[in-house]
Amino acid sequence: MEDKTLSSAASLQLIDSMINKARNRFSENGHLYLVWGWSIFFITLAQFFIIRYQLLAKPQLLWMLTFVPWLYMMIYLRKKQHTETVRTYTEEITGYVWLVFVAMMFLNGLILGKAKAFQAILPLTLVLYGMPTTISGIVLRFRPLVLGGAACGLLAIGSLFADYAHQHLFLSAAVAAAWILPGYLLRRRYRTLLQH
Amino acid sequence: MFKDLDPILHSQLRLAVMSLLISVREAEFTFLKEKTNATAGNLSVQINKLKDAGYIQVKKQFKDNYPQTLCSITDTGIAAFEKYVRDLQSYLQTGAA
Repeated sequence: MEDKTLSSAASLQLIDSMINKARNRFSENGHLYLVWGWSIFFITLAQFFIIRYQLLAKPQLLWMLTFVPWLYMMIYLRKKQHTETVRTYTEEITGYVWLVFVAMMFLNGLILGKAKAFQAILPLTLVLYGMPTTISGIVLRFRPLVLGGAACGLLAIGSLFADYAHQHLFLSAAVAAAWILPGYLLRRRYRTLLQH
Repeated sequence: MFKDLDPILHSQLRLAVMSLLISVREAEFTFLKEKTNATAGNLSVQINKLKDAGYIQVKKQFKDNYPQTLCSITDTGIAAFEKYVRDLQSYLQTGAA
């Protein structure tokens, strides 16, 4: 490309082509959805069995295990940032949405734990799961994430009628619907786009 | 009625850079070079012209001990780009009429 002037029609064509080049860049490969999704899936499932059959005195300590995938995700994101040559508005918005989600999760646990409202912790956690998932789905124009977010809302309502142990199964189902399944679909979409 | 097109934007490479930057938050020099197929020297000159006009912001930093140039469009640049597209459209409509 050179420093030359164009006709009006050629200018509009160039604008269109360049905007498409930037817009068609889809960098979400679903990897982190799968890492986090499977981690939480196994932890919530283990929590259910531990609480149901009273296998451990302090089953909540199992949540400490999330530190491992969390650390992996931080390292992965840092490496990804180093290789990226462009940052889109989509990436920026979804990044901040997940950051706010983490802060909200922390506050949710803190407030409800202090209030000893244990029965409400998991239903509200499910509501919070739905928020970033739905927004990411809308921003990425990826329907499975939007549906996953909606599933979290429905499961949150359903979990109100379950005891604390069984609420963990609702959480496992939500994680599968909101992160694991969309994660695999995102990976497939990313690979398909790479091939073209 | 014919409107004069912004001379800063009415150039192939500068318009391509602005069109790329209007779609993203920020982009590295290497991204712009790859998408426009321009030479590094020419791209660098055109980026400086856009920067001098206040249409883009250029941030130079180091990444892994290598220099990195990050470009992003400014509010002035967005306004100029939108006006340029409007002018182009009105010019084409006038021509078609």
